[in-house]
Amino acid sequence: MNNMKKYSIKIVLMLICFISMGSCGDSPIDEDGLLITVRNDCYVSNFELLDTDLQTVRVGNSYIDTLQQVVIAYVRFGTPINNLWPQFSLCTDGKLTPKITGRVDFTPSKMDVAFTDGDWVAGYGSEQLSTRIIADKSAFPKNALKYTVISGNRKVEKEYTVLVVERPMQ
Amino acid sequence: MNIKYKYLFSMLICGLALVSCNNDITLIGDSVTALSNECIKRSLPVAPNIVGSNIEFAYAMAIPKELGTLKSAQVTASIAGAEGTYFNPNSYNTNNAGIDVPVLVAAESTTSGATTSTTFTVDTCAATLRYYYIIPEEARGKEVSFTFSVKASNGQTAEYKMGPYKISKMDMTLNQVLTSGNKCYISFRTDNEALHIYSAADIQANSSLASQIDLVYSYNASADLTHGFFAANSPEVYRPNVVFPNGFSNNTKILKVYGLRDRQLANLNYSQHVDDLDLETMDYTNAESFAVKMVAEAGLWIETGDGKYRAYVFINKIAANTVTISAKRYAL
Repeated sequence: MNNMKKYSIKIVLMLICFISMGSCGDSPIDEDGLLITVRNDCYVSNFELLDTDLQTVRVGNSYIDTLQQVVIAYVRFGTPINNLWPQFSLCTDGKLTPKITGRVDFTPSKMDVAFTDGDWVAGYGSEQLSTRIIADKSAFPKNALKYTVISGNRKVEKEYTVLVVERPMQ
Repeated sequence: MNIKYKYLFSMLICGLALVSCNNDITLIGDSVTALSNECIKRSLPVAPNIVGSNIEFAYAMAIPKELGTLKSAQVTASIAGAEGTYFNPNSYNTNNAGIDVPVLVAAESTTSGATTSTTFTVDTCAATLRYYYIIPEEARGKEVSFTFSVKASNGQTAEYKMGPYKISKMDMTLNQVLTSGNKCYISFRTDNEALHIYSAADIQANSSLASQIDLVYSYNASADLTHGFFAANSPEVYRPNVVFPNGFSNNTKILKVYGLRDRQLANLNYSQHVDDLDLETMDYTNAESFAVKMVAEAGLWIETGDGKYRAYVFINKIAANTVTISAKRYAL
């Protein structure tokens, strides 16, 4: 019995030593209660637009140019765009500002484009059309909506311009 | 050790011998000594009660056999029911297969004022009669209560009160078929009808009707447009080849929804109900002037241009050039 006591005291003391050494590191939380991590990626990976009936109004995926920081959403002919719900998919740990708290009027982002052959392939906007739109930044609507993505470590900020292009009637 | 086990074993045997089940039959509650009754509402419990449709009750009455038989039953409503209010003279009971079996026990019911009554034609000591109250125009927006009562051959009576039930202010119209280009002019302004559809011929005969039209329906073969509903101020580019009648000027507000399958409009097994409160509190600030690419089971929240009427329109069925719709309308 005495032997047991000696050993158990030693074991308990060692455990206490180890526990006090292994504490959790600093867990910084930003002003929105979100964790600040070490990631410095900063991009939008997907952009969705929903109408009042909660169905998507896009045709195909939105075209996202992370270098030029532009998102182009191609929408169906006949889409009313003053009452849409935008949904951004961001990089891991990323944050968006301004926050989306309700439906948004995307009329200022609507862009009229003169289409040429090859712009629409099987009903979807082609690479050719997207790159041509982005190449001419001066033709962007003056008040196109802009959203800023903030990286996980809160050190990198990228401002994306959102454009909405309506597909011609099919 | 041996003695210990033997001791435990004998205790166990004794214990088991003392345990047994009680096989006596006991009554739950007091035994019945007089005429008694009960009533339940059989029509949809949470759906709005709409003028013109009915509220159905099942009224159960019973008296112990040795005391006598049932003589007559009656119900008095706080607001007299419309034409067609009656007591079904059959008593229903559910058989082993779960099917309600009717047994004729009473005479045809008679209604005078707010009271509907019937007398029993066979000797029966227990019956469940169904009462159908057709909701009258006078009850719109008010509350209705019912008092059921029964008389037995030995002079005993029993009474059961039901209600009050709130009657909706809405009108409802079901399954109106529209045809693009012909029967496609929708009006929400007719008395007692949620929807009235005018045809091209109606408008030609009476051009003043054009001011009554709130929406024009049109079908376009383009996959982007298909079935569309348009107000007077809808962009022309989204309604190619649609002809608006002269004098159509209502800037109706439209909000598109999908999957709101109101139980009374859709007649599908979803427990969703559009009630007075939904239309009273609907927010039309960001509404559109048109809705295209409508599909079956989609819906439209409508507010007429002058703000007098609001409605919920449900798309029941679609086919090329035609659509079937049902609506509930609320007058603000």
